[in-house]
Amino acid sequence: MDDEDLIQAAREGKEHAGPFLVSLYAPMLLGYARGLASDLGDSGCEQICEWAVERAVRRIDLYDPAKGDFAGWARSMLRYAALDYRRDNARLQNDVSLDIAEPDPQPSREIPSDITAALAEAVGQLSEPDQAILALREIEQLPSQTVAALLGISDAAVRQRHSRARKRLTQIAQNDERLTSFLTGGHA
Amino acid sequence: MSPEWTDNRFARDHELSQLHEALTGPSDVDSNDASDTGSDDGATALVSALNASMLTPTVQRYVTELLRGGESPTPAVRHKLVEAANRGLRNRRSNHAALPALLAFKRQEANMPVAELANALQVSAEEIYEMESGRLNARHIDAGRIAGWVRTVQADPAAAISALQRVLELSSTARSPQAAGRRRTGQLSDADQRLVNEVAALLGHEQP
Repeated sequence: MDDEDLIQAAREGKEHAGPFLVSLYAPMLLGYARGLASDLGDSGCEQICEWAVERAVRRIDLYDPAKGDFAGWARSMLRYAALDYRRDNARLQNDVSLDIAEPDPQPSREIPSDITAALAEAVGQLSEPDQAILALREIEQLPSQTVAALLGISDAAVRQRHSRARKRLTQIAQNDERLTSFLTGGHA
Repeated sequence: MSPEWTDNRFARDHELSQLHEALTGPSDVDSNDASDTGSDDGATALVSALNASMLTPTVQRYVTELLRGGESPTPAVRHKLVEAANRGLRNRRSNHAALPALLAFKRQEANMPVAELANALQVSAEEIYEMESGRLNARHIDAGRIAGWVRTVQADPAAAISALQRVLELSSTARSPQAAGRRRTGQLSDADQRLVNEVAALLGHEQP
């Protein structure tokens, strides 16, 4: 059974899809959870993996292969689960009343499609090593120490490459009117 | 997540191996220039909008391979993860089920005893069992009670309306003999459609 068949089986709610999905993706998710949220400890990492697996199956209709592989999508489910876990814990620890609005740790801004297209063009002008370091640090949101351990280089080297890649992306963006307008808040 | 392990994997893929070398090679390393990345607002706005589809296929593959290994779950953890996947699958099935199965699933998901639901709806526990098992015809329950039931078990109104349509269609007696054995078309009798519309209105769900 290949990934496509498995995802289709999960979409149809077929029972055999669950154990297969776990066999294929649980090792990756557990390792990723430890890299992303090592401060949560064993039980926290296992909990967010559970939530991520359930969420990934429940929302599998939203997975679009054109936007990346299933593993990447499953990791995005884990990032949401980690956020939920941290929010829940913060509420418990701070005894915050539930009717008080809590600031989103990562305020989301609606990105217009033309900006997304312009950004994709800008990213396309970066070298693949620059893209890779941005993917690990910004999309996967892994701490620099974790990326350093993954790549087998020093933490300082990771931060240096990351900083350079961001600067290069900003320089490329400054030559694109759509992106400069977006950055200065002038995009309609 | 050990680098030795990832290096072995890349040895089998020339493109990924080249990318890995370019990313980790000593020529580009200058530990004196590890500047902080947090102060550049422009870059922060840009990178927050990044997604994997913007990367080259090689970079996408590289990231996936780099993060693939992780660690094998213990039997106990694996069991919990399979249970989590199965909860997700049950949820998916309930969203494509007829109304009795959806309502039963949502009650169980909410850990609500039958007696509690019966009390909330002012009906007997037997009536709950009859409905959830599909023995009670949904046409014999008035729209207000169906809507109350949906709200009490906190089912999604849109899923509940679809599930009601499905159960009415499946139990339709108005189909012509010519239609027997054919694929169902989703056509409901006028009375059934009225019931669906009434429930939708009570749930505040506009019918398309």
